[in-house]
Amino acid sequence: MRFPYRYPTNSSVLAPIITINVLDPLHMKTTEIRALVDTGYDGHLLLPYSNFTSLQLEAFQIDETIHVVGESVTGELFEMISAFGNVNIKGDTQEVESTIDTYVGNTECLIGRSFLSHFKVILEDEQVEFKRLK
Amino acid sequence: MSVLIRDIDKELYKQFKAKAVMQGIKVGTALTLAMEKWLKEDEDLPNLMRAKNKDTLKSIRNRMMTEHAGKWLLISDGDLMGIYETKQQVLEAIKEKHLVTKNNLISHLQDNPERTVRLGIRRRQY
Repeated sequence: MRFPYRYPTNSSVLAPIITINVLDPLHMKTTEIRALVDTGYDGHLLLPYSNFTSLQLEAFQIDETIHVVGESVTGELFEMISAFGNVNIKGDTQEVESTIDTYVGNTECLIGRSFLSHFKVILEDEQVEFKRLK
Repeated sequence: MSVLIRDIDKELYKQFKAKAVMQGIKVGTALTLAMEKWLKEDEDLPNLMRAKNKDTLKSIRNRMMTEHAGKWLLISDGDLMGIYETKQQVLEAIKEKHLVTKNNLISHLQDNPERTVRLGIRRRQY
């Protein structure tokens, strides 16, 4: 599965953005969304809060004390909400059981290393290619 | 913008308009404020339910760890709904108990349920 780089919001630099399907764990609701491949994010999927609620993922929230290290850089603790869900790359039938993160007000959609570890990922010539690991 | 809204309670509208006049604001402004407040209430509800579920978990976790370590808890609207052997059983219970539209909390009774999420640094252009 191969995707050309695109321009993310508020950036003039091309980036690896792919199309994914996100489902709740019971496969009742699904949404298609574009996600930025972000190897700096170690989770599976960071989802915009509006998509998190429209998929009714509040029904599958999990209890974890989450320490976020990121834009605050100082390691400031703030509330991240997580839920079980499934993610697959558009065009691929393989679903990855994922922990889907969000926070109130989040508008970003990021695919992180926990999801990427299920694939061989090649970033080359302004394209991103995914190959299933055997 | 101008809209035509039907089926408004007459008596309620009279009180609403009277209050707007007393406060020296237009009815349209008062209606905008009322809409903002109502929309905000819906946004706060998930946070309230989330806090309620977490409070319940906090109050029972130690006892549950002693008696049911390794198992899964399902909490919904602040109530303990069940204790299960596997994650799959919890998911099935959410479906069978018609909790798919509720604000639930699933907890795996294990030590150190902590996770560090690293988001990386963004460069933004405005």
